[in-house]
Amino acid sequence: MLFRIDNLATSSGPDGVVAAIKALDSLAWVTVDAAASKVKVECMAPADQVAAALQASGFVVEAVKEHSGCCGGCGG
Amino acid sequence: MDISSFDDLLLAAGQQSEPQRLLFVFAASELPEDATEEERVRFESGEGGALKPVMTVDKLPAEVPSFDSLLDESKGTGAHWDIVFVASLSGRAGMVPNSDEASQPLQMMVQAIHTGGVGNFVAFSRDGDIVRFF
Repeated sequence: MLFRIDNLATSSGPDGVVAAIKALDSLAWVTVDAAASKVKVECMAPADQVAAALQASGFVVEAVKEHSGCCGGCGG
Repeated sequence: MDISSFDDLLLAAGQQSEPQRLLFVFAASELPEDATEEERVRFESGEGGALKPVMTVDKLPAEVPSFDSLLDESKGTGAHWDIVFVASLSGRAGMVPNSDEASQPLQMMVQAIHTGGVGNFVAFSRDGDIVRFF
């Protein structure tokens, strides 16, 4: 799951993002692209819970649709 | 086939009759609170310690072209790890398992590592060397 965080620079920053997500799932894989204000998360929790955890920590979050590379032609 | 490198693992995954999803559990070595002095000395010299899972991820083999790519991507998380355990989840009827289907097997891997049951997994050090547990 991918999120854009509009106030990454003015909030608690990448460390705060990681802390918020790790509090939800301590084994989450979190990569923060500070330059692009994007956070990639792979964890056991659903995207809405991750977004809520980030919002609760003061981040302005928007889910970004990831492109799977699937053309959809097979119905997948 | 005998797996002696990360490339062997990728090759083996590609040779299966069903598409595979690779499951990774990254673990850090730490000194238990109740460690003896001897264990402490060994740990400080780079041996021993207990393995604690620190993060998990699942990927398609095509998303991990090499061990170096996995290492580089893991560095982006900022999390320290010493050993990565790998297992492969097989698809069915030609369909590759999705990430949701990988969640439970990943949790089982984490539990197994907590209890020392690592014999079913392939493990690699940060250098990409295969790690065997006896």
